[in-house]
Amino acid sequence: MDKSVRLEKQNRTWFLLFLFCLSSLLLAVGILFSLKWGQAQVSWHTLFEALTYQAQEKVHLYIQTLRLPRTLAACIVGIHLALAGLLTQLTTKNPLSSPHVFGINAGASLAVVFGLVAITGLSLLSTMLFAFVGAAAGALLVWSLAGSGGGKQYVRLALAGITVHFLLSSLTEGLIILNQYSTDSMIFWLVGSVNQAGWPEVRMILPFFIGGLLLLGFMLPSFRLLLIDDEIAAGLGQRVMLVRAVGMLLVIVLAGSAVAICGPIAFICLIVPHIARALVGNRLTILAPLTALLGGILLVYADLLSRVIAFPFESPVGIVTSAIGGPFFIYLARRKGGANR
Amino acid sequence: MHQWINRTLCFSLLLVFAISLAACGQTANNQAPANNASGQQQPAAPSPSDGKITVEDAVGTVTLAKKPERIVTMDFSFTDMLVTLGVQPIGIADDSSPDLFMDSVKSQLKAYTSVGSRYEPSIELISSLKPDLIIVDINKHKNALPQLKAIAPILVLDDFQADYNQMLKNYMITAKAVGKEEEGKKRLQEHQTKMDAAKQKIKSANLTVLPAVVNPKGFFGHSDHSYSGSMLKMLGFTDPLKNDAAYPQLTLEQLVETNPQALFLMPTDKVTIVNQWETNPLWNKIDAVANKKVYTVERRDWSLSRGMLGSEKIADDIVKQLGEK
Repeated sequence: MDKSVRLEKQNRTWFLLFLFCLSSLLLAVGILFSLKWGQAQVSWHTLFEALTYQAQEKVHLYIQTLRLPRTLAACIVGIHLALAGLLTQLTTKNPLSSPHVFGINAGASLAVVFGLVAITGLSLLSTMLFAFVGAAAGALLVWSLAGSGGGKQYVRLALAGITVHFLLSSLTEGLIILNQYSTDSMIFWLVGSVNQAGWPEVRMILPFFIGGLLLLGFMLPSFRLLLIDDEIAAGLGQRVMLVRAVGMLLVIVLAGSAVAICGPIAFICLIVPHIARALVGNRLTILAPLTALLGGILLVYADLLSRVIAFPFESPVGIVTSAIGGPFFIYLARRKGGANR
Repeated sequence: MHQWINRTLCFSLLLVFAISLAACGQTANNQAPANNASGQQQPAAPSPSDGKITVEDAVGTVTLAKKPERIVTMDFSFTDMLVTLGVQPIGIADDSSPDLFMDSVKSQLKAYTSVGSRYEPSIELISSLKPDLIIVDINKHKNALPQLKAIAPILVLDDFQADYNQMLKNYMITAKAVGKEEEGKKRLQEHQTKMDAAKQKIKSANLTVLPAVVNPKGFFGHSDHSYSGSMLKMLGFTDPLKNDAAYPQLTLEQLVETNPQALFLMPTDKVTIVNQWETNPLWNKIDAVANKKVYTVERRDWSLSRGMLGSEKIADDIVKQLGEK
């Protein structure tokens, strides 16, 4: 008996180890292909030369100044979005929720489009600030609409979230229509795209990436509280509201910075946490890193795919993630409806 | 109490959003006067002969009972064509910003009523102008066609996706529809002479030249299926894109691979993506940049005013930059 439990535990450790190795390998391969594949042909040898900064020819520059930052940005944004999704699902106790359903993405998009329309030559930093303000305002609007306390709060949150999402999206569209001539390519951005991301973008998002991950790691034990019932947690003398507030702050930082760089990329936030949960279950200390890793993988591969669809032209990566995410969402919704409870 | 605070908060947030949206939408109620008042005034003289005009447009035959006098145009291109025929439109979809007109078109325009965005024109405003002809684009205004048809006869042209040759055809259709066929023919002759003169001046036409619209987020190359691209082709240059799409969006990598020997940039804003690209060492690897053949031209001249004046201005610009002195 004792032996079998130990064996099972050992097996599980091996399984997890294997899983993390495999995902890391997948990510590495994805990044490598993302660097190699593009409009211009690049040989493996040139790729190696470029990555070791041995030469500055045209082909090397493609990799050093365009493909490398873009791939890194895709990876970081994927991690941000996946973690933001996981955190929203935790804080709202709704498995189908994501920053989208929280007015955060729509708020950030509205703010960024507003900034681009109102101010010519908006700098990257101010785009970021606009996105944060928008994300925070969107979330605030949802929270205040839903009100606090009471057992039905989580349902109200979801409803308010959807309402605000549509309200803000329609305002964004209104802005775009009214300023059609200057916003032609904003539609591209609104579907979500990493193709503009260069080193400045990567440098801009890096502090949020590191800071966000550190805060998340630090708070991870407390976030476990969000898995249990509010009353019980409160009974244990924990400050549930504070933990949730920190969770939401993290979501705003992670999703807001991602939207500022790439626009609102759909479905990553929703599906990645579910895939991770299906693989390793609910233990946060394992779930969170795996979610992050899978988020990076998904966006790097989706970005790669977005370059292939209309080769040699680019498609917004959001189209790819939507194409993958849409059916998955329906599957999730149906499974939850049928099997559970 | 709590509830009350919440409500006020929500309301003020909504208000802020609404106001900011309104602030952006508030784009100049331009030179609208005069014409609305003269709504009842009927055109005095009926045209000579029987006055009936029949013309083939992009979708079929249009029959007009008499020479149209109150014309509404739904794009800059139609306006360009009309002023060269000596016809004043009474209403124009100008995206509510008269700055988008070419100078030479604007100087010939008298007071007109703006009917709003070219994509979403105000049907009500158009109707209030009591037009007797509306000139529309077959793609851009597809959804509004039934509504517009109810207001007045419509002339449907394949304009937005048109290249240079199609534009010339559109010009003659328009001329016929407004009863100025003779003037149109004469003007076209004049245009041909100007174009031939331009061709004469361009000897070094073996360059690959790429015109492109650039805005803060994207670089849109205009291939030889587009209007400005087909003009360059007509003048003897080569399109480096070789693509079926008229306005493909290019990344810097694609642009460097395409490697045009001359670039004509049409910026939509003061700061565009090119400012960002210029800081990348790859930008200097483009032949056009290395040979100092990157020119900035006006988008309103090159891309919006797709008519006689616009195309002649394009030819002028090209001759100025690439022609023999």
